[in-house]
Amino acid sequence: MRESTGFVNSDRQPKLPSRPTQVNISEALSRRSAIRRLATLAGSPWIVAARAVGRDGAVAPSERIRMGAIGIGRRGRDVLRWFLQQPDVQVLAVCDVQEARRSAAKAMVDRHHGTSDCATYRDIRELLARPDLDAVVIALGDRWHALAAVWAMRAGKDVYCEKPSSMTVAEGRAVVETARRFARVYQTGTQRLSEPNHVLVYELARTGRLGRLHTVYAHITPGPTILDVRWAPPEPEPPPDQIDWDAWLGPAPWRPYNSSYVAGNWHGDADFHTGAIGEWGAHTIAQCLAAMEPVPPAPVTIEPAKGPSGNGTRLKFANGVTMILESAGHWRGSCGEWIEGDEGAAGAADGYAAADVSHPTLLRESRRCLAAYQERTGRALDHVRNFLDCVRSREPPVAHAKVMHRSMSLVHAANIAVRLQRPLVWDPSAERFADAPDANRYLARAARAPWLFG
Amino acid sequence: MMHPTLLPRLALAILWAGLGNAQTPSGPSEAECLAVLAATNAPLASIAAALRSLSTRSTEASIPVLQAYLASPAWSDLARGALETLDHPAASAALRQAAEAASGSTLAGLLDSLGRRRDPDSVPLATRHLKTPDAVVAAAAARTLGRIANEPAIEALVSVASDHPRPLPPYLVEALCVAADESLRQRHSPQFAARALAPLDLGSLPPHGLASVLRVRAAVPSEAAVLDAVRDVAHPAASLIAAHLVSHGDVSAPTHLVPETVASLSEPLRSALLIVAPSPSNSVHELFLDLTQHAPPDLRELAIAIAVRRGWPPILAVLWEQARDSASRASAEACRRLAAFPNDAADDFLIRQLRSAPTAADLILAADLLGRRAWAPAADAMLELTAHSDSAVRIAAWSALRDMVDARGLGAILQRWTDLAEPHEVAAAEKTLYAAVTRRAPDTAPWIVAQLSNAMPTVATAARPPLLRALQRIGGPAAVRIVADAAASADPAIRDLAARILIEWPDREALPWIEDMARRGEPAALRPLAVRAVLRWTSELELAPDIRANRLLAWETMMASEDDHRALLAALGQTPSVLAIRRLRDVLAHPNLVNEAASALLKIADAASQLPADELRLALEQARAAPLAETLRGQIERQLANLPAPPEKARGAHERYRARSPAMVPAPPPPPAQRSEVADP
Repeated sequence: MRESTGFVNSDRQPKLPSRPTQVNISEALSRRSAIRRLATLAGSPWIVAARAVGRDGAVAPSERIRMGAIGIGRRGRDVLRWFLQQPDVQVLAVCDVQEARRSAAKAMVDRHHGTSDCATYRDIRELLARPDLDAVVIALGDRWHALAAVWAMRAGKDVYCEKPSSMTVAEGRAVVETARRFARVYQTGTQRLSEPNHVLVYELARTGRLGRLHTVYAHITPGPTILDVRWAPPEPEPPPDQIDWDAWLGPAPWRPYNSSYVAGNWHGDADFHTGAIGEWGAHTIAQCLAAMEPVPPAPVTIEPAKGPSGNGTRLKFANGVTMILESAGHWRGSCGEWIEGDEGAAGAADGYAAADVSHPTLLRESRRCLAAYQERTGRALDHVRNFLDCVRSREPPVAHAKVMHRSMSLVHAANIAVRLQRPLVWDPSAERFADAPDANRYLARAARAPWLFG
Repeated sequence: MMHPTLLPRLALAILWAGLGNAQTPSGPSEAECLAVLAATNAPLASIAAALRSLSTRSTEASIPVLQAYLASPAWSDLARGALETLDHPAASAALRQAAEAASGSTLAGLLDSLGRRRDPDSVPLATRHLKTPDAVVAAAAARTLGRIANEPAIEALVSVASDHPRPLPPYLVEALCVAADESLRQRHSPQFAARALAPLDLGSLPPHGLASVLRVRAAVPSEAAVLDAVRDVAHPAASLIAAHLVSHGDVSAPTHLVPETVASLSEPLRSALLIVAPSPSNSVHELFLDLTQHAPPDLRELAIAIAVRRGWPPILAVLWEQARDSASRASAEACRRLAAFPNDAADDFLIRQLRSAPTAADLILAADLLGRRAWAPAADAMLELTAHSDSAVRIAAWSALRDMVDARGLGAILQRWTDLAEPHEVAAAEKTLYAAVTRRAPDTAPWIVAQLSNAMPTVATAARPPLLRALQRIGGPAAVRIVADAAASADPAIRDLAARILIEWPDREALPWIEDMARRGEPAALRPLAVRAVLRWTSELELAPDIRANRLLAWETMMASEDDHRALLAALGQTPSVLAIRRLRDVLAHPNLVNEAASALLKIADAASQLPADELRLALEQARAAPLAETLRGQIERQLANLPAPPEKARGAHERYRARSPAMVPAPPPPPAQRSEVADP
């Protein structure tokens, strides 16, 4: 619903869709954007330095943002590398339950900075207790994402967290509440919200160039979204210095050690993973929602596809748009979205040289469209850069906690509908299913002590 | 006959197998799960699966069985998970009972579950554990009380915090803040919530604690509650945090601000309050009016900036006056603000200025700003302005129109076209015309071509070139015919322009006309370009490669320079055919073209898997022997190495070729076994 200051007659709309420089009225007037407007006021000293809110005692922000990396396996090191490429980042510490990974990441960081003092930690709590860190990047297994983010934000750190950001709706809510209460900058790793090809698609949709949207397609991983719990045969636990199994499990339910889990075989196991919809849908549902803005906070009817894959599941929004979850059909790469309106269609996926469009004229003003996006939002077309800019400015980044939670709630809701194999109505305001107490029992799971959200 | 103990064992085995699939939609029933949990010899994985399943399907019947697992360090977490989501009072009772006997992490988990259920009967239990030396348990107990947030829970927390040595541990501070926030969420009075925060020492509070204090103090029903809260708290960061809370809607802003109050506030709270001040409201209107007219410069500038971002229409007049004063430093900033004003009140305002502007400078300013705002409904007014007596105004109007029109406005634009004569005006109008024809629906090209065609004879000669270029942007057979007609014009300027446009035509529709130009050699200055365009388009025709090569070679006699020949060789390189290979082989003997011929051969070799390998090999070997650039020779070597080895028959052909031109082709190396038998030619 649009909020109005009352100063404006917002019923008047331009006659042509091609107004890329036009400011979105509803956004310009929403309370949510007030903080952004505040921060962009020339000369306004309100901007909160990272440590002004997060840590006591310090006065001026340092030139560099001092970071820690939590979870430094293959993906974690990739993300860490992105951060190291930024000139204003200094990585001071890395943390992982596996000794080999700690050593490898420390070597990488020390080599980059030309130092030898990158600290290593086995226990996330020890790293978070350091008062000199401004922000952390979290690239742990999915089971750990929400808890690590909550703990980090409570410790006063800003957080860049890999997706999927939560295992349940309740975990996502905990992240949102913590970011709000502790005034932390939180960005989830849905980097396609910042990539030019994708942003162009969102802007084409948002500025009306595709006409009235009717169908959007979100790419999901081929494979099952309804997962089993698969225990591998128990093996003797290694010494905690090498692999801390208790910490590896974290908030997930206990099970005996097996080396295959640590090697990556946790994917596809219901205790640790959110299935086909969570794997890519954590990206692509957020991408589709970005194209659909403003998304009404009204109930969404979810019609699950038959079978365990979720492929073909339909989410019907109150504004008449249907989101279809598809594992193939509209894309030549991974993690794509495809947006259809009554005047055109556009989409993008990994590996595209340019966005796919129904008519080439849609690409003619792509530069101008992207420039208008940057002018309007002040956001970099680079996800990591956008996060770092927001650490300094205290503006909400493009994939802030509420954006993450809105899309992840739909991931979880769709998973539950597929699991129960019946249509459900998801109420995003109440964060509950309407008239479905059995479905609502899937919205939370107890964390294993002592790895509690608190 | 079956052994008497075998049947139950078999049943259990089947049940365990079923639990392996616990997460499929049809998963096990509650009874099946309970049977596994009741069995004495169930595998660990089956127990885990059963407990996990019960988290979504347990009923009151499961409680006694689950309770037995609550005390187990390995299973307590899964068991309490199954109870945590069960909406039955006995589930809380079971958790409490288990907590009475538990310790360590198990106890912390049980307390956490009770807190999530907001079980008021857990207050005594949690209170008992507040002072335990186990920090994990104490933190869980404190957090549980914070979540419950009823009077006894808050009293317990306050009591412990009051007796605790300073500074308070973070978990206790956090629990008190959670209690205060939770208490407000449960719609208790702010005074009640404030009790939770009483033990906190404001001076040493972390920011989020200060935020809780401000939230609670600002929750009282008072017009200026947030201002009072900031004043009462008297913390250096209070203004900053209050601004954050106001911006996020966590606390209410005053509805009646007066300039004196605003002036007395410090930043950033002042900005935050001005931004979110509720409206419509006469008081806010007056406030902004006062600030933008009478406040000191800094505050005035702030008020203008915020008024612009709020889209407050009365500020437009202030901005307009600033913008008009082009000598002042504020003019450029005012123009930027007008151009970026966040709603269409600015468009209406600028249109009014356009209609009532007393001077040409005002007209130009309004047109420029409307153009920067790309406001389509202003297109009519802007078209009217293209007939203004002042050419500077007309040029500004044409420039502004560029971002307002699409193909639907083409008719109106062309009506004005007859009046165009001045070069600067034509240049400005030209861009508008291109914008209009570019922004078109896919099926409207014929209509646009017809419009342009009809306009062509009616406009001045100087205004005709843009129409031709617009046709080029559209392309297609109808447009090309009109341009071809213009290429036959008696006016040399139009004729040459049309010829150039045909040569640069975006598709091959213009090929027949370009061929004609190339054959006739007219216009003479464009002939080389025409020849190259012919070669380019011919090489892209959808014909068999041999036919294409034939058509290309037919142009060879028209080649007037080495550059023409190079263009032909490049075109042949895109035509993988035997004919092209043979012609290229001949050209290899030409010292100035040998590199181009070899490059063309390499392109053919890259593309043509269907061509006879012996033809290709012969050509490449001949190229290898020619005086080539070394990089090309290396590529040829690699290409030759990739070709299949020549069979004996091919060797025969090779020999025949060598006999025909011994100086050009080196002998292929003989097979090792026959080396001694091969005579040097």
